[in-house]
Amino acid sequence: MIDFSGKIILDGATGSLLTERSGAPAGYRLERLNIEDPETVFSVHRDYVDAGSNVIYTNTFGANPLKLGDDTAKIVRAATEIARKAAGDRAYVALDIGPLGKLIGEGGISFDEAYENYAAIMCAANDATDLIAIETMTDIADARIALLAAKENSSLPVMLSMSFEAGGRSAFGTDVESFARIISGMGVSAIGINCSLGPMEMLPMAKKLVESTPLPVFIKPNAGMPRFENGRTVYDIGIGEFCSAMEKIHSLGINILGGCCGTTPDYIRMMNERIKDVAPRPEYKKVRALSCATSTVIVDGMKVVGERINPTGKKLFQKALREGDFDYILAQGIEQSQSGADILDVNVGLNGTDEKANMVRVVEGLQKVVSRPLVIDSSSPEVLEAALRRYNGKALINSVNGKQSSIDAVLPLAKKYGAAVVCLALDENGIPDSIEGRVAIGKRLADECLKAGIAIEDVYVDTLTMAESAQKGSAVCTVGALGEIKKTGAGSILGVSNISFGMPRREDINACFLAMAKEAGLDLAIINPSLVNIKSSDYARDFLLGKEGATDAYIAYAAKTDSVKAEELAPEGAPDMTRAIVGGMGGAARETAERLLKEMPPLDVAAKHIIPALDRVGELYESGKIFLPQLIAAADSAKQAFAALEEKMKEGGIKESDNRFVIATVKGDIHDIGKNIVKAVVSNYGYKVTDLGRDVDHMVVLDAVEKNYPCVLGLSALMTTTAQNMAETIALVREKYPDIPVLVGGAVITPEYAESIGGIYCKDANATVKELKKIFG
Amino acid sequence: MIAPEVLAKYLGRGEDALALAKRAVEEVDKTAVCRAVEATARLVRKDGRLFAENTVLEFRGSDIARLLEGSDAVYYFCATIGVGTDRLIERLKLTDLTLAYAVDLCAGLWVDAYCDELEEKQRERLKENGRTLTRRFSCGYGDMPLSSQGAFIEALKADKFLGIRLTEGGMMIPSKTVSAVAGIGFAEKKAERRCDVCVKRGSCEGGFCGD
Repeated sequence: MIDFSGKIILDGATGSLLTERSGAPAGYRLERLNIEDPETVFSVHRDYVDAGSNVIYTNTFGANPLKLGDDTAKIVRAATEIARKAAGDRAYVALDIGPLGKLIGEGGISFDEAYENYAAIMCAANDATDLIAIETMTDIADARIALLAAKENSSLPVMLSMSFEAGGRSAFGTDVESFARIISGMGVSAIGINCSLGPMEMLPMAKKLVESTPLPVFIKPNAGMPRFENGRTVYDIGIGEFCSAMEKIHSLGINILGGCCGTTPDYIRMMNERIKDVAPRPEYKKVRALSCATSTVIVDGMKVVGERINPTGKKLFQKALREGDFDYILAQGIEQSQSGADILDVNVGLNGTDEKANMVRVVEGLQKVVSRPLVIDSSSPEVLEAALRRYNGKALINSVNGKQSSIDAVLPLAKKYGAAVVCLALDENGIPDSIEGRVAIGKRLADECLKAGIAIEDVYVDTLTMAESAQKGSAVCTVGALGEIKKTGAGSILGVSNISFGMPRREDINACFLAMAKEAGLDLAIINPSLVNIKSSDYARDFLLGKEGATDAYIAYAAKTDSVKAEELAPEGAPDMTRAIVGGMGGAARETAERLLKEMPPLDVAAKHIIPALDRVGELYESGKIFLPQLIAAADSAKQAFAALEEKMKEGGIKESDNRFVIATVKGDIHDIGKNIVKAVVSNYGYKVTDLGRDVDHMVVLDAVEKNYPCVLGLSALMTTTAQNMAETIALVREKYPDIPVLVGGAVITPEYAESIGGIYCKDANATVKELKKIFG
Repeated sequence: MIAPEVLAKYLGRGEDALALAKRAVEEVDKTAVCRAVEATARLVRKDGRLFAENTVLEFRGSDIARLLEGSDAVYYFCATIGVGTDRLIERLKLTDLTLAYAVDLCAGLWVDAYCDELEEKQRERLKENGRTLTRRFSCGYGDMPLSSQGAFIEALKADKFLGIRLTEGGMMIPSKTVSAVAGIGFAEKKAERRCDVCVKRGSCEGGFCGD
């Protein structure tokens, strides 16, 4: 069994050496040489073993079914046999796994396809090597999927390394620390950095990695960045320079060293000669950390967890979930992160909706638009696991509680996916009323976490916030228990706003409670981020401390300050709708709509004020007096006016327009900015727009048409390759709905092409509105 | 770096467009990280087909063949402004569609300007040896198929060194990424307008791509 704590010399480049020795052209699948030219592959491995490598990587970097098809298994098996023969009993053999080379997610292959491809490599190798080396990952999603496939299809130890650019981030944006925090908890034996850079450029990254993980670290740099000159690949860093830099890396306490592109057995030999002993590693400093793919939050003082991605008590959020309006939900994430949330809680549990599917979609969507770690919040272990599998970060699970069934279901998930976990201080008997009762459950859960292999710094106990108005003494109990829990070394988390339930001016009470909890050592506050800077009042503090007469005094104070606020905010002299919309002033448009709604019904506000304003915008646009940016800004403003109308209509039970428009960017295409502009403009004309998003499968379009028929379909495509998918989508929909009008547009679409595939060409959003007016009358 | 005035031309006239262009340029400047892998190789003609010597890269289609007439070598590269700008655009699409539109345009101009810079530097290097470089040509121009994109990436190891990935539709990610080839020869070639090989030829209202 390999000892990762000792000195290990890895091998150097396989690909560049194989290219040189075999004469294969650049870009050739070198893994084929395992069958076509096994002697050359053997010679490369043997030379590394002779040079002193204790571990050699098989020649399988690109050996996956996406690149080699049905030959994969045969090639992988041949590779392991050659490496085994060359290693003999002098070196260990690692099954080498590189990235699949395909985009994972929207526009590319699915998570499951990626997983199947990685799993196929593990199955082909059938544990015939001593370990698995997942390397040169630039996308943390790729790295995680490969690792999951390794852990679930093999019992071998795994080393995993990513590639970083000079700025300290991978090409997909992951920084060294986040990589370390995410992968260290997922069951790898060693973690490292390889490829892309030379050893000197890698030095600061190696240092960061050592500081960010308790695991053994390995470094495998290039002999510099390659240059391709006249068909030859040239690397600039010579052996002496390379080895001197590797000695510096070794002195950081890194004892597993090798080389990547451009290095040869000579590099490895000299490195092995120069590096003799095991360098001591500085003590790893334990910290509480949560990560997303692009950033890490160190919880070294109170951090704010945004609470707004949660449907409870929020009508618009519920509507968005029921209608699949994920843009609305993602925008909530962006807004919170912009207003100060360090971490985002994600809860999408709502009766009558598919929580698992929605959770996966929201988690995947948020990862693309916000750089904040996520809290996966669900009572269903199945939903938790689905989200944790897809989440490219170190998540916080919300939550486990003292019931045995909860412990058994949730803690193994935290361990497997390297997540931190929220422990609720409740059990089969409910929520204890006393400080002691809550502390006892909290401590028991922390012990269970440790038993399950979860570090204490990844445990956050929630001592549960209850409404002070319902039960006097709640605040004191919650905060008291929190203080006790902190003494055990566990972290703490609280939902804050529940404390003020049933009271006026809740933000005052919330702010005060927050201040008390912070004083007691609160690590994570689940709260509306904008509350954090509100100064707490003495009235609220007395109320929360349960002082005599404090409740009445607080209510009197709240009544006084609220009336002042209302007066301050009274609107005066709002501009008219056309000025607001043409000027792109969203706030003013909404205010005007609200004012007009007091005088006339919503449909009149739309017909007499908003639509004429939009028509004016259209005229100005057509006559070249305003341009697309202003058109979009105007559409955005009108949207705000319509939002006011929509709310009013809901109150009054008025039905929305039933002229339906289903819109999508076709399969394979992810460029959707034009489609989004069309959606923004068209929805302002009162059409009910169902936006299916981008990279939309033909069948999803057909399903949506079925649900909405009679409707008009709108399709966009940016690329010539995906225009074909537009034709196929139209053909499929027309089989069932021969008369459905289909509006098409996008960069490569011409009127002639549109006609040839049975679509109506719309050059832009305005043209789309005109066509819709013609169709719906 | 793109001058806001240039971007504003695409966005429309007036002070609004210029203000918007300035914001877009600022945003792209914060997120764009220009990186490239470049290569030169002899051009091999075999059975009427064109290859970069010692690589898997074939230049397919009559339009590229016309451009490479008279060239005996090629300069090819893959250049990107990175994934940060893609993330920015995704975020802005949800919060500020106007700015998203301007940033998207700006980012496209940005990577093009970077390619111009690479091309120009290569042209200067060649000039010292009395050699010339044609303008660049990319997959998807004219009849050079988009499916050749994969060979560019493989031959340049752009997946490994730049983290470039292909979507199922053949689009490169990060989305503001360009792969291109130009011919190396001894004679100046008469410049062709890009429009001559554009799919929108005949139905374009003009002015968009700068030609």
